[in-house]
Amino acid sequence: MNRIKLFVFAIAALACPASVMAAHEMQTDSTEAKEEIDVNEIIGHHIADAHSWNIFGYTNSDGEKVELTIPLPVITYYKGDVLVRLSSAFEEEAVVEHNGLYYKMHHGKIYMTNAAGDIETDENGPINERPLDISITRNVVSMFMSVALLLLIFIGAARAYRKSSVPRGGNAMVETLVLFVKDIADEQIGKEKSDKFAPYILTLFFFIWINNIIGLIPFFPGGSNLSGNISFTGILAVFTFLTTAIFASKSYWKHNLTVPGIPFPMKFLLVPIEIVSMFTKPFTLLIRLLANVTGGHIIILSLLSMIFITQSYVMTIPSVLLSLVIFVLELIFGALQAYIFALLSSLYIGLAVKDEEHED
Amino acid sequence: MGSLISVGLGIIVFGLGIGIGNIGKSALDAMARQPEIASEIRTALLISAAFIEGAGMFAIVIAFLTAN
Repeated sequence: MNRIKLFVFAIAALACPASVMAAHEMQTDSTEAKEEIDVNEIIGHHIADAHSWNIFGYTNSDGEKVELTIPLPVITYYKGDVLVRLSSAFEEEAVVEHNGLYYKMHHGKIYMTNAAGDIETDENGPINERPLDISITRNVVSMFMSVALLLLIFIGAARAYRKSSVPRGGNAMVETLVLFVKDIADEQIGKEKSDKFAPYILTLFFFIWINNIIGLIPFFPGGSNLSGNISFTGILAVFTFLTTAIFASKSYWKHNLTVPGIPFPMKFLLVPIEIVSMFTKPFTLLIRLLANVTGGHIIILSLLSMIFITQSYVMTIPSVLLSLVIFVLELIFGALQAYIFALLSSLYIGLAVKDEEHED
Repeated sequence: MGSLISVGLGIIVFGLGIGIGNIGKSALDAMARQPEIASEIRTALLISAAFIEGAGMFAIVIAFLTAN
């Protein structure tokens, strides 16, 4: 009996984030009956990066929209002109003037305009020039927070070793996790060389994992789709590529660029394949993480959107339960994707640094 | 065009399912036969599953790009 109670409680506790997320993302006026809701746009907004952080919003009894939004700094560079403003200055398509240049935010992107703020478009969207945008966006704030969290956890765990060599409590868990990831590096790179690369592999694993988890928290400090952002996964893949390229042994280059041991005409076929595969390896790392995390967010939001598409109370039960299942699955996938990224990175590094002196 | 892409995505996932399912089946067989090297088999399983998935991801991303 107790077990059943616990199960029901667990379901209820887990269903909470799902319904909070539903309420958070569907801020459109659901009070007005049978209004068309553009689910694609809502999901797109959630997936994309933003210049401000929307915490919550609702429609009050007078029919006005009340929204609580944290403005974030917008920093742009355009031909020697550096603009630093809060994103609230750009609200409602306002034109911001700075040193004789006019800036305007249009659909979440900053464009250069004339004084009237005209945006010219062709069939591919706006053709106005864009400044170099290095703003502190929602994703960047989220990343700073996860970095702070990681530092807090791991510096604390490292300090615990000063007192005694046996860590207690949470620090013991950190030790287990660190050893688990260190084993990946030891296995794939080889014990003699893994000390050099283990810090990188550990950083990869914990950084991706914590960002996956934070991305699944539906309310304020979480909820940004950081590890499903192409720049995030791209830069990690570039790091892995550079590590393999810089620390690669002679035999790695020899095997990839000359492919010894095959008939000469075959080299015209195999050498290009080897060279292309050097680039596709990090590219698949990029795509895998991006597609898995973004796909997870899209599925959860689509299931929750079913309530708002059908506009019926009955639909709430299956859609919240289904999204709950996906939520649990995504928690596992968050760790699994971090593990696979760390595993494949150490595999590629291991392949590159091994100098095998075998007969060809 | 859009519906064709959906059918294509279905075919991709069909292939991925067969591929990863086969890996899982052989890995389970091998683990049952030799439980003492189960952890090594698990690593090999994840690596090959990740590669197959990577190929599928390429196709899915291309499908998304052509959809827009």
